[in-house]
Amino acid sequence: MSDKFDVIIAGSGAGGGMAAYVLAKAGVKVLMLEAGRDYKPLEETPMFNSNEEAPLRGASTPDKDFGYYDSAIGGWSVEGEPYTSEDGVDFKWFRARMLGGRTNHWARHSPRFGPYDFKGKSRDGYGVNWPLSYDDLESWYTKTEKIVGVCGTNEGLENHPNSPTGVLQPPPKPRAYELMIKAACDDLDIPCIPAHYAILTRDLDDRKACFYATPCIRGCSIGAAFQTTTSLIPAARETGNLTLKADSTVYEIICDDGGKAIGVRYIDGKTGERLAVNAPYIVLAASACETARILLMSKHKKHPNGLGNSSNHVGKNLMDTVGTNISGQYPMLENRPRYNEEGMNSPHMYIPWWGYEQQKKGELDFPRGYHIEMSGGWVTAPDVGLGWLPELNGGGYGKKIKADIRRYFGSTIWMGGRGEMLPNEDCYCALDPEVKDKNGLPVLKFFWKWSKHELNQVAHMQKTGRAIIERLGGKALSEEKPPEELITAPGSIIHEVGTTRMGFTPQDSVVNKDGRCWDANNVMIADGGVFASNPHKNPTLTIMALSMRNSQKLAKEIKGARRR
Amino acid sequence: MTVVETKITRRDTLKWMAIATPLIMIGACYAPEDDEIKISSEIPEKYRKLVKWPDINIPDVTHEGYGKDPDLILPKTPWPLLLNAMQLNACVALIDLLVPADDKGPAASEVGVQHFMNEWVSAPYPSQSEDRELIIPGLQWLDDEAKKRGNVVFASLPEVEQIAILDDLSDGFDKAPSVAVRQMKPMQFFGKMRRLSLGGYYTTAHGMEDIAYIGNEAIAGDYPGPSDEALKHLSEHLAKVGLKLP
Repeated sequence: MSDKFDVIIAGSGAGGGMAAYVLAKAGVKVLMLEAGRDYKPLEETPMFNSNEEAPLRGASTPDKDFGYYDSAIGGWSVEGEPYTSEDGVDFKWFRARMLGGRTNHWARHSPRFGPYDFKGKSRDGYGVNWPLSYDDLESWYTKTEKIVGVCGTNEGLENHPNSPTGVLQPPPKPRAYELMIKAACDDLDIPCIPAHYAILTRDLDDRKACFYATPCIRGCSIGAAFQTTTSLIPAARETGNLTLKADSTVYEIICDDGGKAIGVRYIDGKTGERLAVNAPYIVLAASACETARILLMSKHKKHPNGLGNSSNHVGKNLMDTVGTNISGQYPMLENRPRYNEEGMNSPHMYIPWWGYEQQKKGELDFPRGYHIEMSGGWVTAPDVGLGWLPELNGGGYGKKIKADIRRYFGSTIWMGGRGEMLPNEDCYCALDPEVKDKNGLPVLKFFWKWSKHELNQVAHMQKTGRAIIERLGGKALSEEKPPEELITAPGSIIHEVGTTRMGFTPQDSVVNKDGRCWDANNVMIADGGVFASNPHKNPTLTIMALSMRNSQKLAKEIKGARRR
Repeated sequence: MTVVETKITRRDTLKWMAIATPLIMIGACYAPEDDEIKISSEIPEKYRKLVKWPDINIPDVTHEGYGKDPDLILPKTPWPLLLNAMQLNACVALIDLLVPADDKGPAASEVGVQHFMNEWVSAPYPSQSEDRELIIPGLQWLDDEAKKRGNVVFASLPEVEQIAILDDLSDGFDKAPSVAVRQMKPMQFFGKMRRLSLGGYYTTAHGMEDIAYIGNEAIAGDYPGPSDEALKHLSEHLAKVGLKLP
């Protein structure tokens, strides 16, 4: 490549997209390398396509793990790019090989972290504190929310910060079943409030407000549901400062003799050719685990354990969100009057964590919080999985089961507990000493062990879910089991973070509070790898706020250097 | 739209069956050596009498799936369809008993559920392959059982006798006199066919109309939320359990 770039960014998802946007807008010359193919949501999103049109009525398959219309190209497996797990561990690693990465697919739940979330160790002694506080990030959250477009309300709940007036867009009205769950929560003294979602309810720039149809997981050709491919990346491109190269898998950071990072090596996915490009600054935003892998593969005489890894923390401190599911069937939702319940196809209401006081008093046997999301009813069109419903009523066949379907369809509600996991030394990823990918590069191997904190938390989530179901006269659709059997597989909530965590010293962390590698100040990490903890609040908004903050600092540094 | 290579209507298959019916054989009963089904006191006579699960070759599916990056706007099903006319014939007869016409909508075969079934059992994915191992012998079993009872294939059996077979299967699956009965292959086949027929039926436009699903239509302005009628219904039901509409 003959052009001169100030910065190379690896990855085009939430972190990389935001970095490209901030840097390009600031006049910095950026080269973005994306491992997946170019992707055009305006042309490729199957808006309004019916299940009937899809193979197997859209059912999930190993090719499309979340159903045929899921926008993600990749999923739990990517051809030619395996990963391994320690015996007895079933880690799941979701990857999207496409421009925009997983932002094309994500649920878009976008809560801010609160003040406690950055200082967990100070509160309960577990894990580590972030080198940043909520106050350090507050204005960046606001700026991010304005660009991304987030709907929701300010409820003023403990450790759930408000946004400044006028920043959030109005949330959609609650659905009938959400009001039902809220009625039970009101009675049980559990909060149930509008969730913050990165889905527009008002037009923003050239993106349109949601028209309350077609699942967001497909992507959104009108730009209502946030993804970098309809927002940050086109805006960055418009500046003329962003050069984008898809099908380019970064696998190594090149260092000069002194060990200073000077560029990256990458593989052209179409030709298999190995290429290199230089730039004074490098931003890694390939996703927490992929970024760790790149650093571990960047071995050099000055960086024998891999670049940025003098602390031996690269790949360590891996966390996902704790998950468990509780579904219920509610007689009061049977045969109810039909109305359009699709809404923005995501929860309009959710249950935020409310147990801070109890935890402070030592009344709970797990130190960190969780929230509960919900879905069901008639949010999505009938799918091929509904045929079990007559089994609620003795089964049979013929006209009877058709009547059963009419009665029961829409009467089941799924609740998902989503909790904060604490980092522990048994959970990490490392280069597999044997297995290589299609390019001959070592793959990641995952190691995992839940601690009692997560298991106790799952037991509590189940208890809460069952209490709600019971209060409403519903029926739980799963048996009570030990939490070990009810916790979702590690990685499967797709919130993996912590592998290049930020910290106070080069000994206890990989990057500083500005996302710069302690061992290589011109290498910035802009994905979830930098998280020092993994609050139950979904990570993407914070990935973007951090990336914005740190990219702004980087832009200033680059422009300052130009002036000198 | 799903690519269906074999389009056989119920009428076609009935016509075809009129020719095929001379091929009659009497199925053997479950033999004691059958290791899939343990004959024991757990299984009442009524179920032990059912014809033996056929040991037939299930075609190998070597075709590729639609891949990691298929066309989402204009979907195509790339794998060839496996069911032959005889199997489709049994399938049509069965799904129309499972999901018959009523005042809200047509029978399963009228909206092409048999083609969905064919696509499903022919798919190269693990979950569908498992279903193929159950459904292809299952369709043969239906014909075997019909021949034992009435000397004709299932589709040609008088409805009252078809229903007698279905009742046995439904009783065995749904009323589950014992786990051993529920786990018998014919019962599993029945349960699987019911789930899939309903899934196939209610994902069609007719099915969605039957179920009165409202959605997948663009709304201008704010989301209107539940109708007054829906709120009233909810409010009344919440009151019954001592709760207030928030």
